[in-house]
Amino acid sequence: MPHLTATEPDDISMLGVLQAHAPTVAAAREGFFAPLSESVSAAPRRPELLRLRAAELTGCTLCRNLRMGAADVDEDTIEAMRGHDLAGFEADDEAALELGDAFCAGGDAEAVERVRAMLGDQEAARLLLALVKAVAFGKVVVALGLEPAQPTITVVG
Amino acid sequence: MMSATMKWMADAQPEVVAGLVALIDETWNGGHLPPGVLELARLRIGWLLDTARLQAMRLGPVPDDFDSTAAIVTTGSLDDLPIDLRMVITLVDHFVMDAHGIDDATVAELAAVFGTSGAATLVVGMGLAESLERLAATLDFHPVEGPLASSAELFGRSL
Repeated sequence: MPHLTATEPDDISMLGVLQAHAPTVAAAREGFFAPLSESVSAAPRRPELLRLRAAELTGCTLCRNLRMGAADVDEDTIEAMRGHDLAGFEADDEAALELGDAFCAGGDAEAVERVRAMLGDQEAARLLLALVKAVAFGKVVVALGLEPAQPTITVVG
Repeated sequence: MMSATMKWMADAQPEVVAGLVALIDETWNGGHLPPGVLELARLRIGWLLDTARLQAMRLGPVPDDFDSTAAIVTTGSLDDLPIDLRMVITLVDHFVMDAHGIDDATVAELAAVFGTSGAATLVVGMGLAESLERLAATLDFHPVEGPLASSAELFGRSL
């Protein structure tokens, strides 16, 4: 149950709550989310893997059960990722997941250098910024009480 | 070679970084909370995560007694804090260690002191602070000391 309510009583979205109580912060949040979403949509697979990895850290059940359809990441892949069984992943995805582990577990600059070397700076920065968003706002969802009472797997896009 | 700077991220993804910078600046310096409150939360988060990469910088203006208060939140007894700051740090601890433990009453108490705008902004600020600390640790980043004119400097500084 939301700890702060949105303007519309049925609106339990983070955006709705922020717009109701801190509209300039909500607008600035969109200013970060929009270009990142555009970047993610161009090649959604790795950011989606990292978004789900971040959800294991934040404990956000909304995030954990959300699926970005366009990313084409199946449930077997998600279970392998959650079990840290990276044997079946392509080298690029494995490097990205190690980056996610480094971000969530406390740092490993070598993981960053591996991704920069394999995938380039644009991709490495994109993945790190996706992690910044996923961890920050996964925690915000939890802290504001915005997780659904009965989470179910939801596919969007 | 270690990633000792965030500048390469801004060069590689300028629009996204610009959006993140603007969000940080609005959250910290948009007048939603008294000066220094979010900075104390941020320092506490760095201490809790045991990364503390960003302790030497300041993302916004802070009161004159900030350094002594900051020392309390990282090494001292929280009983020495005024009650409103003690409430903030208690929320921070929950946020980092068990965000599911934050309940209606806690948020209502914060809103009573800082307004719902302040409470909502504090939650967003804590999320950003945790992510920035994790990012800095991942990059092995150590920024120079002192106040930043804008968080854009965070992505332009180097060792």
